[in-house]
Amino acid sequence: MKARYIGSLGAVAGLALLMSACQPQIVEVEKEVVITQVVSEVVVEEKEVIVEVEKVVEKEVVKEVEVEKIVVEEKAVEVVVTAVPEPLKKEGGTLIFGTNLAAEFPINPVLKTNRPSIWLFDTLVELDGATVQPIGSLAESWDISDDGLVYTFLLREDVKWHDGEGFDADDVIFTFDAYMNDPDSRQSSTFQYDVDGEKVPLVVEKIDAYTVKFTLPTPSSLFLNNLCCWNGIVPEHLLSGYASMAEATEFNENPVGTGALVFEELRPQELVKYKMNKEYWRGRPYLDGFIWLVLPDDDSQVTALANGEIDVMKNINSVDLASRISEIPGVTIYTTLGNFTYALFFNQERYEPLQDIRVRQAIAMAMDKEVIMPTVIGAPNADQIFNPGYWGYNPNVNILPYDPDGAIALLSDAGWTDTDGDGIVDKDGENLSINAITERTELPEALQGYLAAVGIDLQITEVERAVRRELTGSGEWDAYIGWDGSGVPFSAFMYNWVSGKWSNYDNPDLDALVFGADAETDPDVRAAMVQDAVDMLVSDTAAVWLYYYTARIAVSDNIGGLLVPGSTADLNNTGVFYHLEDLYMVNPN
Amino acid sequence: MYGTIVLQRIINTIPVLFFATLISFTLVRAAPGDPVAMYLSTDMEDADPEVVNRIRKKMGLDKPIYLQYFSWLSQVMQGNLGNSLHTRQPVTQVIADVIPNSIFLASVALLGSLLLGLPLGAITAIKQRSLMDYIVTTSVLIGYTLPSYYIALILLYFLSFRHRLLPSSGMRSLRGGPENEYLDLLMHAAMPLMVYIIVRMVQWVRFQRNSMIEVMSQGYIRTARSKGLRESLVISRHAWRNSLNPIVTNLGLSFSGLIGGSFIIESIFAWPGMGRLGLNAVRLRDFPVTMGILLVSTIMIVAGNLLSDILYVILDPRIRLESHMD
Repeated sequence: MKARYIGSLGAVAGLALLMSACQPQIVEVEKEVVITQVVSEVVVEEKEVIVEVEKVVEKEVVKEVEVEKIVVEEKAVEVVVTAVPEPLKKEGGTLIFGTNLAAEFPINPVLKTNRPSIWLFDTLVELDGATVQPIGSLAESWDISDDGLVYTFLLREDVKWHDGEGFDADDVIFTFDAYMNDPDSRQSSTFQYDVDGEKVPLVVEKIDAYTVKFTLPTPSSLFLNNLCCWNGIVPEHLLSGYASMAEATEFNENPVGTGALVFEELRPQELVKYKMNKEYWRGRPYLDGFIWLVLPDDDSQVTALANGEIDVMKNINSVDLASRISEIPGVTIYTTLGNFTYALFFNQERYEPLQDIRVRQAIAMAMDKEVIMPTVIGAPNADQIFNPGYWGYNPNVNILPYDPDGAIALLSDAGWTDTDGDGIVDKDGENLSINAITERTELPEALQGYLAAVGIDLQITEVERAVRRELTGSGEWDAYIGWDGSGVPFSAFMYNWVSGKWSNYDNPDLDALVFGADAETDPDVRAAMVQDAVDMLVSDTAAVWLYYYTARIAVSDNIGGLLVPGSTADLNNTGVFYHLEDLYMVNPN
Repeated sequence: MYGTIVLQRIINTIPVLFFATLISFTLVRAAPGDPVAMYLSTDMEDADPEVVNRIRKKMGLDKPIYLQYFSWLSQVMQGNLGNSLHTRQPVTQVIADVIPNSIFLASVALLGSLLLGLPLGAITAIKQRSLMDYIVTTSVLIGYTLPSYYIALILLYFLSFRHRLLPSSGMRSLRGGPENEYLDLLMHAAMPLMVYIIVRMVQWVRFQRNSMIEVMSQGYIRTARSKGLRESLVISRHAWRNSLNPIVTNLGLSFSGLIGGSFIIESIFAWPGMGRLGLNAVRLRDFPVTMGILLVSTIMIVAGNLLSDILYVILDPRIRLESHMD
């Protein structure tokens, strides 16, 4: 089906180019191309087609008109990319988003990071879908003082809360006061900064109705990032007067934001219903409604998707599931790299043999990650904490190759050989047996075999999420296979790795680099420092990074206006659904 | 006369309830995993331990378990099941929101399985060792060994994925679907009901078949036959009626069993009921909700037992007489 699109697209685009080469009238061309239903996803392939067409044009057009030819080419490209889908964007329809995450109260970003609330509440800044750099949202622009301490934000004046009240500086002041001081706030350290070992909060001041000044006690490159994503702005006029947000039941069960979604109804265990905010300041949404439908079972989600009961299925975690979905006609799976990396962590403090870097290196060399990751998980093999799209990615880290013989040599170098013939290397009568906790056993089981081949015994303990959090929180683990947050939009950053965090990794040089990078205001210097820190972790084999989180999301071809895939990060974990107001239905239901 | 027996049975349930809740509370609270951390974390990022500690203290979850149990119990005595740690709503409301959905499924399924299972069981008993008996008992055996989630997935695959006859999940259509609201509900309920009915029915068939065979070998059936009564009357008046006695006493028990069996089926068909709520609450370590559901289930089981006891007394004159002679 897609191939046919591209074919007919090529034909029409070719025709268009030839016609315009002879008599450059773009208006007619637009009409022609409209029929082909260009989906944004095809754009890359279109370019190829156009290149071929250009050759044809060159043959046809005489040399003298070279200048004119270039103009025509540019215009033709423009027509194909931007002007085409406009008439297809019909208004209306309700998008149904299938998910296995619960629908639940309270919906209040101060209390809880509730998934749909990201579209209900806007933030001061957001991250650009392509560059992952902070750009304006509720704040139209900002000014940073030379010392990097004072941020002055100019707020948008055309923003209205869903109840019709106007948004202004008081809402911003109130929201940040709540994040920092509310007894039930989910934040503690995000807006506090280390100054000589003391935690000092930032100061927020109102300059006028649409100007707000934030004063930081120390420069922080993460400050702008921390204003995005989950940290939505809440309305002062509805929430002031409560001792704690947790008491604002009326609001928490009927939230009012400024975002693209307007809350309508929540049925626990079942769904959350939203209307689209037709007065949205970013632009009038095409859709009428949005439903967050809870389907806990993978199989029923796939069936619902095939039946058209849902338009979107998120969290396609296995290769098997993805291949089943790819058989459903009219559904496309989009893949984006996320801001997390799956890794095998070592608790060097608790399991002593791991203190020897040769043992850690042997583990890394024993696994053929390039084969395992794509086949078992369907995700790219990772060699460090950050994926290649992020500015902290270090392209020059020293990657240990898959080399089982080298691993065995390293182990025997470190004194680990199989003396008792049980297939497991030992030293002083103790086997090298590593107990790893994990929430999902699929991948660890694949690793087990590879490690066994070099004589390392990997024991796997599958634990539920709640238990895993308790174990990693209390340090009661030898090895852990799970997520390392590179935290592109979040402040988590590399803070898993500084001393005193759950990774139990202790390296003052790394601490200095990580904290130094945060305080650095020059982005290039900061990137260099972060890349050095990455190199430090990789050189020390502080962990074995396994694969980059790959968000797979299946979307009905009836939905258009998705964020063009290929952006580096799965922003906010919403994948291609970054701006709901851009989405439309080709055939509104 | 019945009154004293019923009263005695009711009084007996009080220590049962006390110990059942004590044990379940201890188990639920002793399980590793922190409700506050679960409440605050997103699916990939763990919450800040500092905030977790602050809120845990605020909610009183840092106190010893036995103190938490007694404060929970004293609240329950006053009719207050507490608030969900996750949604902060009263547990009574959270449960009241979903319990009708589960009871609807359970009662229709019970009725359906009885209407199908009992006659089938009786017929196979009467026509023992016939072809039909073999077919039914073999299929019953197969049905008995198949796990309910397996039956659910097979139905889902054929009736929804392959042939699109029925909606895959939920209680109502969000788009399309029949105009009539009740028909829509019925179509959504059809697959979960089929699973429940199959699972229950096979038990009733086995049960009724055995009960009927036993009754048919009794002396009074032989007497009835030998006095020349028509076989149809022998069966309908003597055998069938008497064979129902053990079934009736099992009814109460089976109803509570249906609620318990809903955890998996409700998840597969995304049916917003008690099982779903319970599973989610356990996963999130939302113990007030977990305890609320356990309490409701315990009460239902105890009430079911009580009901069977009473029905048994009513139906079986021997028990009545024995207790009368005491």
